[in-house]
Amino acid sequence: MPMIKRHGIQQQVAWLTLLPLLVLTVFLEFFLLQGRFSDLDQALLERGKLISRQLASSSEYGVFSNNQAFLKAIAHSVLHEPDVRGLVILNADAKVLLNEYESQPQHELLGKFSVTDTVAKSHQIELGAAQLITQVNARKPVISDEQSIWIYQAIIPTQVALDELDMTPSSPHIGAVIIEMSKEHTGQDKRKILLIALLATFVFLILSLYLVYLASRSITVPTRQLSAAVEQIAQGDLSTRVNFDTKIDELNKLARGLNEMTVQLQQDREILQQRIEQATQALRERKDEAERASHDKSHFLATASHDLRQPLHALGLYVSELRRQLSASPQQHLVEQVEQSVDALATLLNALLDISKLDAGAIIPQMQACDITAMLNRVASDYQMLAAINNIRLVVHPIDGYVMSDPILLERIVTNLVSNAIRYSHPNGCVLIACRKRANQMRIEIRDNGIGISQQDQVFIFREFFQIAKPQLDNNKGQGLGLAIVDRLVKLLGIGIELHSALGKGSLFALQIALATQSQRAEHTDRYPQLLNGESSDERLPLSGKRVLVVDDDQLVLASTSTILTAWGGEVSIAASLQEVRAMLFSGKEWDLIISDYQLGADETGLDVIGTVRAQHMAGIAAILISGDTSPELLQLANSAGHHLIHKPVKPAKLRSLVMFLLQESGAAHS
Amino acid sequence: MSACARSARLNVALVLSNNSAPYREFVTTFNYSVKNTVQTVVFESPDEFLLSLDNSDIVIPVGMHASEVLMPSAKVPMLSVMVPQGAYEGLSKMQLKHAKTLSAIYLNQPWARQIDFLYAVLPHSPRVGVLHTSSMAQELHEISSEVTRHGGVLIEREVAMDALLAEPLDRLLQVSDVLLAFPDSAIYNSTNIRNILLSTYRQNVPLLGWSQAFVNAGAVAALFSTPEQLARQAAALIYVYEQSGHLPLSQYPAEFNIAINRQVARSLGIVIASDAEILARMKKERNRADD
Repeated sequence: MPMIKRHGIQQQVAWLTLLPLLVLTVFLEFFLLQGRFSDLDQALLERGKLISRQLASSSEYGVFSNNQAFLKAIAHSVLHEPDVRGLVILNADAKVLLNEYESQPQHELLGKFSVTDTVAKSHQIELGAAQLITQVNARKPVISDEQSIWIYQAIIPTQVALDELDMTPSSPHIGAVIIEMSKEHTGQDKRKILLIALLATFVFLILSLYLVYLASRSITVPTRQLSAAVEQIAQGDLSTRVNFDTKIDELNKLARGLNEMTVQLQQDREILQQRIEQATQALRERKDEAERASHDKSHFLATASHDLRQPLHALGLYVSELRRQLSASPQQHLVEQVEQSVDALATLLNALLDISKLDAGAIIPQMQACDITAMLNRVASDYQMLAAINNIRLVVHPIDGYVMSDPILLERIVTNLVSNAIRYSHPNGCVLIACRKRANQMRIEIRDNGIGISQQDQVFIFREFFQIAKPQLDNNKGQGLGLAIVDRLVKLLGIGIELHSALGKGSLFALQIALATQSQRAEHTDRYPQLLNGESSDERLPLSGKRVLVVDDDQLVLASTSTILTAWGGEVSIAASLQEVRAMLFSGKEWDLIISDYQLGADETGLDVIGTVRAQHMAGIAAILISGDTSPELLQLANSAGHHLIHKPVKPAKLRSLVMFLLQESGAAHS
Repeated sequence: MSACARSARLNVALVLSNNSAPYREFVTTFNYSVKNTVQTVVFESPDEFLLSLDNSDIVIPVGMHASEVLMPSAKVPMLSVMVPQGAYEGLSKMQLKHAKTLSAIYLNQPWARQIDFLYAVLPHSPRVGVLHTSSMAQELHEISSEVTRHGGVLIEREVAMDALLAEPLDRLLQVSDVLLAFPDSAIYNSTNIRNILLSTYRQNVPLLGWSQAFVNAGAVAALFSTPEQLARQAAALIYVYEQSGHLPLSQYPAEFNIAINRQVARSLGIVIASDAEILARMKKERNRADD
């Protein structure tokens, strides 16, 4: 850009200055040279005339007396004159008396015929110079071509007054001389002059060009500085100032204006920045406030859930045990009611905890190839019972396929959607789970013909605790957290979700999940197949013969956990602190599994316990950490140590699955 | 004639051929020389005279041109002056009826005087060359006899009017000791004279001319009469006419001058006697001839 600009100015200045100069020079030169050339021609002609006059006068007697020798002598002296190429002397009858040419063959031609007009006309066959020389005569005394000038000079006898009364008219000329003057030297002179003139012009133009360059520099250099400054300003450097002193007033003015402008801009920008900073500060304060509030809320939630969890955990374990013991009594019914309530409570708490975890970013999806058919069948079998109870038909049309996702989280999404569908369907309704492959996507649709969701509500259904009014279906309300969790999970897993629904027309939730590639499918492993399968074997004693160390600083939890583990056939050792664990180790105790609370009061954690036990002698021992703390830090800590972390309250079923999985794994490892 | 007698004064009209210097000199000297009984009127050209209805008693045409114009219509006596003898005689032959009233003073010298002069200047010149264009037997005869009288021989060559002069001139000069310029304007004119003179120099042959101009141009010597001399002679003849009522016959100039170009003579290696000696020799020769 500046290059083009500079080029433009300089070129324009150069043109404006040089063009008239060039035109003037060329014209002047043309006229001067033309004048000089015609001077040269004129000089040659004049000299030729002079020589011819002299020759005419000096050859007068030679012609009169027809004295060839005399004429030859004169001619030789004339031929020595510069530029004289040749001469011819004619007598009064135009007969050639003498024909002297410097090594020119023309004299031979001329010797053959006389040069009178009539004779010349009859000899038109002659060529070039010879022809020209025949055309020059008294009426046409000068003829020239490119190479020569022919000059005709009559020999007029010198008049000597003989008799003062002599009346005789002067006789006509007694002959003539024709001189051929060579233009060769004149031509050389012309070329030399032309060369010098051209050289001078060239030097003059170069000098002019240089001066123009200097002059234009005084414009272009400041202009370039200005342009550079403007560019810098455009790039935001407002501290740019133009510093030059030129004789061009306009440019100085421009520079001053630019500087003033930048100063003004700088001031304005500073003011603006101050204002922005103020606004930003205010915003930051607001944000901090909000974050503090959010943190407070999270903290409150965490604390609350932790505090709720402990007793709920224990309660769950006790109720489970109680049901087992009262399996044959009439109070069985009551226990089941209690268990249902506890389950509902635990579910609500878990849901809250899940949301809390998702919001905290504590859940890191483990992406892998998931078998859709297996998963959907699992979900269907889980909910077949519930659907049957509500007299709702649950139909699954799975297709074979694998998707890339976290199997557990994906199952959770589907589960939530299916449970919602069942919940909001009329009795005798139908819930359909169908799959479709589209390009490299798997589309899972959960369809129901239930109450549907109004257009207005569709905006809110993914919010926490939002529930659609369900006039006919009062019983078995959800917590209003299912879709909130789904919303968070699909975002976490990058799954597309669509909702098509209208009030009274049922709903369709569609999930778009990327299909697993062949190579991804080869690595396919579901993490907890056994864990989930294990749930069906209810009445077995999974822990028979296994020694389990349970560590918890809460006596209630410790007692309930130990009770349930013992009920499952395990040989349970309990400890409330690391101290006690050490003592047991010292006494030579050994275990197959450690279940430890994470927070063990004072400065001890479950990790210390596991570490101690593993350090002692059981390096490969399986360990489960239980914690009421849902902080992501803890999860990370547990993951990095390779321990399984479950949050309180732990459902007995889940605990049993995990325990069995770990024992099987370690057993497999040992054998 | 009767008119003359009646008249107390003689009216003379001087008609100049043109206004050239010799003619004016003639007029000046003539006016000075005539008696005061003669009334002169001068016309500067013959045309002026013809237009003037002049009634002079006698007309003096000065120069050949004036004579040529006036003689055919001559009503009063005419005395032509400064005219070459040959030309005048040719002209007057056609005016026979006026012959008695016509007379002339020739410009040229009598041949006898010329040849006397030639031998006075160049005594050792046995061969005298003359070049002429037309046949002039009478004059040539006269010259020849004069030359013979001096013991020499006349060598004459005739050239055609338009022919080249150089070759016959050269051949003549080769056999001549002196070239006598014959008053023939076809040969001796201001155009040719330089080359003729150059030719004579080259052949080492002296040239004798008939005027001061000839000598000035390079002739070795010339015999001539000046306008003043002719004017005095004309005044004398007018006096005779006034007294007698008759014009004398045409005559040669009575007085003459000689001119010698001693420089040319030196160049040609000729020793020439002094003017006085030459005049003395001429006088002696004339006396001898008259005897």
